[in-house]
Amino acid sequence: MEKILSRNFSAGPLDFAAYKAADGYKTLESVIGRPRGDLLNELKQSGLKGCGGAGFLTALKWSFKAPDAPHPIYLVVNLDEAEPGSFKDRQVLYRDPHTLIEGTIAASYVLNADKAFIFIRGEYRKGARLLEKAVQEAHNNGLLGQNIMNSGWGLEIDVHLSAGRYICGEETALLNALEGYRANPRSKPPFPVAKGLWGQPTIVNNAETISHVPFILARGAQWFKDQGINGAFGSHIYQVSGAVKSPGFFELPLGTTAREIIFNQAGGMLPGRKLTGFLPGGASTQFMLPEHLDIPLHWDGPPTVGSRLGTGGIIVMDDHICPIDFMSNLMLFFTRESCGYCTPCRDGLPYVKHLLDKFEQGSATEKDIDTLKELCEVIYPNTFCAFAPGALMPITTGVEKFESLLHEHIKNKGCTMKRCA
Amino acid sequence: MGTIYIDDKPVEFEAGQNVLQATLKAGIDITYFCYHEALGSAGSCRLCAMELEPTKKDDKSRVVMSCMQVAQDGQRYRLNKGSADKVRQHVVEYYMTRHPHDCPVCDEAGHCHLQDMTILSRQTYRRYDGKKQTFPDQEMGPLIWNTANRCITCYRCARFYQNYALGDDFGVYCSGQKTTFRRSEPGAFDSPFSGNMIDVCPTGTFTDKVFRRKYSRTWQLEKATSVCNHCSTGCNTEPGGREGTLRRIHPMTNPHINPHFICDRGRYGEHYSEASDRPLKCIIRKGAKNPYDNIYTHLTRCLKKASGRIGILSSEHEDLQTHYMLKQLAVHYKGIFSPFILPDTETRTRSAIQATQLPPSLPDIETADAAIILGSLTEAAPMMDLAVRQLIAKQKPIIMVHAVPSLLADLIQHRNAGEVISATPKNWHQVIDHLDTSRLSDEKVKKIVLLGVAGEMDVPAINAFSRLKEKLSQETVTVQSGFALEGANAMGAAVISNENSAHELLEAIQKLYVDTLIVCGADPFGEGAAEWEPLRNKIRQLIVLDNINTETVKQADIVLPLATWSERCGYSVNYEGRVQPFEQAYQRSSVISPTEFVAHLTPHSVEALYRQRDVWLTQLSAQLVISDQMGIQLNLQQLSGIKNTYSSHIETEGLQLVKLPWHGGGVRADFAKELASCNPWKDHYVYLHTDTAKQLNVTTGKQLHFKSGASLEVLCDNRITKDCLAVTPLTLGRIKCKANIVLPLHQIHTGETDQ
Amino acid sequence: MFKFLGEMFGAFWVTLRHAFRPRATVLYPEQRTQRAKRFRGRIVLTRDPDGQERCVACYLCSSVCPVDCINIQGTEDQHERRYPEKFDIDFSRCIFCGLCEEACPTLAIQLTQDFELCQTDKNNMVWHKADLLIDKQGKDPDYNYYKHAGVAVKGKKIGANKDELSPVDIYSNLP
Repeated sequence: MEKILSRNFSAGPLDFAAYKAADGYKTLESVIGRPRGDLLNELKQSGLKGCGGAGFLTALKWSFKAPDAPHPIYLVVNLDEAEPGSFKDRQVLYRDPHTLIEGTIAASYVLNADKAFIFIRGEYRKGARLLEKAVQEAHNNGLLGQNIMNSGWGLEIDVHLSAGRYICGEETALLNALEGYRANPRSKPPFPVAKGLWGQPTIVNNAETISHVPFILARGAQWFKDQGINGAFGSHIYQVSGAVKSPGFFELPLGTTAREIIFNQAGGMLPGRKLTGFLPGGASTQFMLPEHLDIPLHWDGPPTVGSRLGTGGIIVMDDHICPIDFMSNLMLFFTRESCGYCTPCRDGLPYVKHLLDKFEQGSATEKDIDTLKELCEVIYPNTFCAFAPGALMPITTGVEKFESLLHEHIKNKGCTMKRCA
Repeated sequence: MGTIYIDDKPVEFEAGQNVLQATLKAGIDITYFCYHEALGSAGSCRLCAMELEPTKKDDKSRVVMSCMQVAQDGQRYRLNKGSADKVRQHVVEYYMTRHPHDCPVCDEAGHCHLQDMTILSRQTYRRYDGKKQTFPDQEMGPLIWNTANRCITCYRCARFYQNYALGDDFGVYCSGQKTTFRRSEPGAFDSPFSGNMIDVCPTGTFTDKVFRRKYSRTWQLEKATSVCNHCSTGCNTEPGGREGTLRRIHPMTNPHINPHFICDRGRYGEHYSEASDRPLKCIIRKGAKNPYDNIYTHLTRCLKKASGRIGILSSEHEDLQTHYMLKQLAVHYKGIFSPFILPDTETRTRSAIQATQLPPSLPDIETADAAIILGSLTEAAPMMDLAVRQLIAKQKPIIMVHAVPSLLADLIQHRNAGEVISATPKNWHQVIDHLDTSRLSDEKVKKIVLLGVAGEMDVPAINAFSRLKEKLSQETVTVQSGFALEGANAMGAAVISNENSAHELLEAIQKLYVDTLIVCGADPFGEGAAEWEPLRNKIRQLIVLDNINTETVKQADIVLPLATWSERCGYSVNYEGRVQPFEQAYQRSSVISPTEFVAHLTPHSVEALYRQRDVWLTQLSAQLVISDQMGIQLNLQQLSGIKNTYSSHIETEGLQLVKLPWHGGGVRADFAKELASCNPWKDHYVYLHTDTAKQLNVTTGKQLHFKSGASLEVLCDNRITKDCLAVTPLTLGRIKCKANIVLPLHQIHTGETDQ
Repeated sequence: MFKFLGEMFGAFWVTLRHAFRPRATVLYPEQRTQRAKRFRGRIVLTRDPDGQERCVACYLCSSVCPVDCINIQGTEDQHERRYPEKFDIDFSRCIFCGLCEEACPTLAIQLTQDFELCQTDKNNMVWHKADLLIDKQGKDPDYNYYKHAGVAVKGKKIGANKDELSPVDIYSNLP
């Protein structure tokens, strides 16, 4: 497998000259100037899916933009990476910002966008400064501005540092934040591709997805397909956190199994710890158990056991962690990050957390298990945006897969793991 | 257009309506919070859940939020059967996890939307046993009481305040479960419509602070449909009284005038009826009374003696029925009746009515394509300003000409929504003639509204207004012109009185033809002191009926307590010519209605007087086009006797003395003490632009002396137009000058030392 | 003849026997019966354990009263605690149904076991607040409504109840 995004990481962050020397911006020569329909076709053939968690076919999303869409058209690169367990976009930002810019330019060309916003999580201040410098360098060297590479098409990139929180990662909340309003999500329809930023057609994509685009367009769809294994297309940066020997990020072919990632790449569990479960794609995914370690982690693998790939940020749970406590901790994060617009998320999620805490503290009853299940069932489909369903994904599966543990907590009048904090 | 089915019951809907709207209009009970007819759908409460049945055979039904679903013909929804019921119950349960146990001490209980929805959803038992999030309260001024714990985060207050009323000092703080709604700093709201937060809020988070001090449960209040008497818009209100006192004013829906809201002046200004110095007893200061006589016998004797020399004065703030009754009294005692205090007011009112064409109702203003405003509209008729704000929100072009600081002018400038011209009123006729209306000639502009503030315009300006109206009217463009007149019933006063009636009365007193004056609901020696003060010693008997402790009441020989509009019934005519009846809401024992007053002084009974009034009203409307809307609307073009031939001499050189209105002020509203405490202008000062001050060689703190002998301290304020001297209405009475007169420079002296 | 005498004496004997039986009659007013614990007699207004009056003038009792015998006007003291400035019960109308006690959310109004309310002048049957207010808690010694409500009163700030979190700090976005 060829390292695409992480090819310059060991030497980086590279400045413009060094990047150019390492064959940087070469892909743009095969992108800018080609007919946009062909490029979109190439992308469609490659099967590239969004790496921000939803896994929507990128080319399909781009094809929703009307051919006669009114200008200005905007591209928004979503680098608001706040999903617990995900730290892949940060690597591209800090270690090789020019790759990101190359991707933005290529994607904007295909979309015929006039301006691109790179929306960066507020905590990545240093990365944003690096990116601003890189944007300035690209601008100075004619890769941004008017008439890029004599094609008649121009692009401006705006690096925007978020002032908000996790919810800014939701695409319509991101648009509201960019416009200067409170980061509440908007209702869809109308979709951003029709009416997005300031009512204009806007495409929002994850930074990793965008970074892959120029390589697909330059090397071809087949090359990209060949990068994946077990029937998947392309490569992906997987991340591992938890009680493993070397937690970190690894650029691997899409479709690598969890066993390979956790036990080979990340060195396996720490001595004395046993794997009891893992979340394959960050905090908003469903639990997978040790028996699912051999399922390939591509878009179709985890769904066979009721989970999803998400961002590929694997959170490993070991036998020193009580799953109930784990879920309660996740809920603590999600209740704090709710934007507060709709009732089931704002008031229902704290209710779920309260019930999980009751199990931990020992005041729970059998009825609380039913209430917990009922809450998850009702909140999941009835919220304004996809935040709460994501928040409840680990809870629904956790309650289902660890139900016996819940009963034990009731009987024990408290947590059964004496070692949990 | 089409039909949807809710629980198999067919429901008609209009194009563009959402399912919730159609359901509510059909009278079906459904729970909802964040939807409001004027504010639209937000989709945040998730309470209006309904199950949408699938159209294709193998699809599943899904729960949708009916306020976000645009109704489409043939859709079938399940409301009370199916899985949506459980969703609604859960949502109510989630609200209740943190709602405080406040109902017994909450002002809203009894008319609380949250209570109603909780009972409707049948989720009334609590199984949550965790802790409740609490919130700090905020001091929000003398008019609104805030209890933030009760908030259910439906966002209605923020949507109303920011999106509808275009205010910017109130908003949302924090996120998640800590979301709370407050001002950027404690204090009274800037918006003239802040009282509506009380109505839009479904819980008791925002409650009426003035009502709180004299609280009563709303089901115990005696209510009726009444008309606001604080400006010529004539919004419908519902006063609530108990045990003979006014407790609160609530808006009454009138789809043709105020479908949802009223302004703060209408809501809080009516509490003048509870002022501590309100005249509530009959007082006889002069003229010995036989101890065996009651007040009416005494008065009848006085009036019989003075027959033929009686003048009856009412004002533009009194209703049509009062004017009619007083006119009957004048007929009986051969007296002169005038419903206008000052001839200038009469001239302006009559000219304005002449220039009114296709008067725009408030919904008409909201749906216009452009607006031209002449005068400080917010301060004259706040609800008209609220309708114009909807145009600003839709970014339609607006042009505004004003002299005194106006909230609407500030808003238009702040939002870059149009052009604002600041000019002295005496120059307005020139400004209007040279107005650049090019931005209005866009082909998208089909309906233009032209609004004038009659109190600030002189006759040349009103004529220029008519010329502008002619200029803008074209085949494809309709122009609807109207004026915010100087009193709630100014139009009615013009209809019922003869030409030049104010001038006639003043002349009669001047020439000693009239020496007994009955004043009903007017303040000639306060507001009209410029012309009436010199005549005081020519009036031998001054009989005053009023409900506020005015200057006239203080100088009266006989005082009778007058009932307010909430305490009696009557008819009022608004700026559109709409005749609206208002009913008595509650009974106050010691006060007198004008009909009663006239009945006691003439041989007619109250019932006979009502019959005569009905005959007159029928005749009035028989000549005119009657619309099928609530109340008859007079066709102003066909009314005779509207014309006015009196005009006073108009000076043109010098500084113009202008009135400084504010959105909560008014002849009666000034006596509502909670509202009056928000007045941004100070009485007994004169405000000048610094350039004007330099012209007069004064600065802040120095005194300006007027020809009438009064002197005022100067306050420099650059918001005042140049060449204007601005004073509050009360001060105008004190210095005994007429509004809008132009003072030649030699009539104003500056003192060398402070006096 | 003996049969007749026998019956007569038998009747007298029954009467005599009953003459020495204990009486069911209670010699009121020197002796008084024991009323049931939930006997519905005279109405009182109670105080909470801190000594403040419990009634918050919510108007529920006056609204539920089937004969409209309760007349209330509420007001607030300087610490924003609501109380009735006027609380009149017309005992000539009161039917002692106890609906007011059931309706009261603060357990202020209660019915006691006293039924001796006679007056010779009907106007004296209207009892005012001073006549109704008692010093103690009546039937429920522990309940203090303000310990459950969300509003702040003297001695209790917002968020100070056992089941409440402390108020949101609006100047911070930290959790």
